[in-house]
Amino acid sequence: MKALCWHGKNDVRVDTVPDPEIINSRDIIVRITSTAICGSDLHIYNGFIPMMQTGDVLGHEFMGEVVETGRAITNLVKGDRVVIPFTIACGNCFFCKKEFYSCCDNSNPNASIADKLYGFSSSGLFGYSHLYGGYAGGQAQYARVPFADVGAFKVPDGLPDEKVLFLTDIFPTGYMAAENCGIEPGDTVAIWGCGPVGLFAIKSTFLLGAERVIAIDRVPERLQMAQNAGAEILNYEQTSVLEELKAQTGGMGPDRCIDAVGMEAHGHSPDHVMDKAMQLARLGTDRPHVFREAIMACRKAGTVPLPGVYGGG
Amino acid sequence: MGYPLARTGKFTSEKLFVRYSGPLYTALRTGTGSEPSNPAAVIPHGQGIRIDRGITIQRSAAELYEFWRNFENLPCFMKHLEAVTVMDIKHSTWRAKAPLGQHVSWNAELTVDEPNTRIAWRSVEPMDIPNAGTVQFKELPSGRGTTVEVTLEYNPPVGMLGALVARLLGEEPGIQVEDDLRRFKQLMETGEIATNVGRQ
Repeated sequence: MKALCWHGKNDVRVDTVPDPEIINSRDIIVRITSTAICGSDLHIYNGFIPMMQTGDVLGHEFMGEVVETGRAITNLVKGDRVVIPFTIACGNCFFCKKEFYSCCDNSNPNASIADKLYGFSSSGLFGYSHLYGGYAGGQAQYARVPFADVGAFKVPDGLPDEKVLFLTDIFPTGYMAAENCGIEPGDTVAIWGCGPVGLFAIKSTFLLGAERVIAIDRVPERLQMAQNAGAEILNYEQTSVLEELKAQTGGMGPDRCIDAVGMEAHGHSPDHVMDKAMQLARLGTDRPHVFREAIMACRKAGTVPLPGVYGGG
Repeated sequence: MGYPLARTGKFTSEKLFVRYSGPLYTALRTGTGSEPSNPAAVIPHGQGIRIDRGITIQRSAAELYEFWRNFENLPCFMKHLEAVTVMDIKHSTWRAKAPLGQHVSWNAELTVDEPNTRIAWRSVEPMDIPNAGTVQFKELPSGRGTTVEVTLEYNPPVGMLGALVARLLGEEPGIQVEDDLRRFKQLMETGEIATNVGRQ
């Protein structure tokens, strides 16, 4: 089959690779009908994610049709249309039982390495380096999906791919950020980053009852989409974000501040220049400029959810 | 996830192999280094390698004990064991892979069998490599699962040098045991062992 494979920094290619196979009894094989690129794929593309190997298949936002099921799968049959979440979760461990699926104990075969880097390994992930299990991703024609009885969910008839594909990753990511806010009536929520995660965070925040959302970015098209979603917008290249946020909230600061940008933050302030220098010198992997700003901007006793991806360095 | 078991004692070689990674943990123990069942009897005191590791599994002590008690199941998750054959209620034959493509085998006898609580075994003649092991199961309160604590001791074929060579080749025993426990947890909690490789 054809698949998008990593060949080094800024080098991805469509290669012909072996088709995936059922290995464990709770696996399925999916013929992929739609797949998306995630902002966090850029961290792989830009060379910030360790433990990538030449030939690794990328992609973790995919859906399609079940073409084969392992012996232990009873909830799905060939022909079912399914959405596959980014995280691979066993459903049986302490964390899965509490619905912390991204913290599954059992789905990362390379957990011992991730433990050393992070203290405790997260779940396995599709297409996100060997640190997260080395699973082939979904920017391909087919994929093997482990623990499909937990992860894969059937798409109701009548919904086209475009309406459900975002359930693989970015919609739940944005929604979880909004959930983590602990929104109370009257809340103002500031959201840095108007990429897909930020946009879904805006929509989710309104869904969960926020009074106002202030969205921050510099790309005009993204700011327009944020405005269409009901947010007030700030362009950080044209204005001081910290001053504006204070002024627009009667001096108190937003109640909740969501960092939907993460480690590759862009900016012009002195701390950001330092971040960039350190990153170039490989002294640290993260540029937490937005995180710092979110903390400063947020009102006292507020909440700062972090859906943005950080390397931890 | 798996943890080294800390205790006072004189197993100086343990220091070479202690690891603290993920949920593998070090359990505090008081008292001297010798176990009540004295599994070290097959290995002279002060010699050999001792590894202590533990992990928590979301299953009852009874389920875990039952699976482990049938030693023929151990190769399912202990990667370096090729096969265990049970002869009778107390005796079994074990065959394992050793570094550099070699094999070792030994006979073992059960020395402790406390249902749902503790199992201990030690090698008897003929044996390529003297070794002994203990596993203890302790259920945690409030449905938090069961801790499984394993102690393994062995005298490598060419003494300390053998173990150091093994370590250099990436076959460090402490890590092997950690990975074995991780696989045991996966098998008992999910019914399978997570993998990303091709045909199994």
